[in-house]
Amino acid sequence: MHRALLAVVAAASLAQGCAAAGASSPSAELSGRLDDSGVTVVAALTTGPDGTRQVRAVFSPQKPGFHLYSMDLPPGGVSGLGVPTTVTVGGSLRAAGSPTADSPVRNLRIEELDVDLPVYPDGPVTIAMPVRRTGNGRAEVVVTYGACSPSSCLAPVRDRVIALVPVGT
Amino acid sequence: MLRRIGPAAIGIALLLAGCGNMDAPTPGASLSSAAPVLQAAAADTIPDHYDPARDPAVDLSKALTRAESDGKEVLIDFGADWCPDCKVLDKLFQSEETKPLLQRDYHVVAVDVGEFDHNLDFAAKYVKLETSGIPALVVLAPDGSVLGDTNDGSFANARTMNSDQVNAFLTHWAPES
Repeated sequence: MHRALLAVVAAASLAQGCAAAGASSPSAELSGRLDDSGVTVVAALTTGPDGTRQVRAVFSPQKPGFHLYSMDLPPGGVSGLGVPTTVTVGGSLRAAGSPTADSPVRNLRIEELDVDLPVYPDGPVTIAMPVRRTGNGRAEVVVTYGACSPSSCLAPVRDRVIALVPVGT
Repeated sequence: MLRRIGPAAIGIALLLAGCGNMDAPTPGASLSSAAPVLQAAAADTIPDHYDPARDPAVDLSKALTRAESDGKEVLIDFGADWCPDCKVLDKLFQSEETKPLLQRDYHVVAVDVGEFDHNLDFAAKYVKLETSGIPALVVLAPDGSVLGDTNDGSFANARTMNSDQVNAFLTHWAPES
């Protein structure tokens, strides 16, 4: 199981680290995984060559054709519709900056309801956030999301805690 | 509860439900061609959203009592206000093409299932949310027996449907006149 997790983390790092590939790539110290409501989330705490730390959470819908809502969506959605993707940290981690996504936002139009919902393109999206560590206690990443296809939505997942554990253990 | 027994399974099931095939809508199935004469009795108000504060058991009991007296059937609509497809179905239910058909043949009970964490014990008596997704519909006879359902997920993609398709379902399960 841990080997599988390591492979996922490695794959996620490959997928997200192309621009910074090479000796200066940040290395994952801790990682964790969540599978819920049609989405796999792999979260990792990485440290860059300059010592800065960040949490990277890769949200991957498990079926093709599904997307996640943008972080830009208001907390209550638009007319109550939609679940903004959020990444926060807890335990021994503190946010040291705002989260950013690696994918552009597009508007999903639901003509019948006359609403536009900001979403990411179909497939995986990575959200990164600078963090600092306040001790050696448990490091936690907390995620909220909801995945949809153009014709249906999966149950929202709210405030799920992903406990990060040392990579390779 | 459903989350405890397998949220991933539910997610996968909902994925599948979203791809479910609906029975082919009856071409031309419409109120004018299939409906008996509209009743003169006061029509029910069709719920326009899923109210988490309502008690579905009480609502269903009242609906069945009315159904026993007037011969209509009961349509249970499982959904939630966060769900775009549920909101689209609400809108279709309120449309001039569908609302008269609903009011003529059915007493409608809207049941909020939250984020698959509300009223699940009630829902489990009538529908398989793992395969139906939401919105999900169940038709009950006045005696409370289940006549039809959308356990195949055929309404989970309601945003792709039109009034003709909704009316075809309603007409199919409507009481015989």
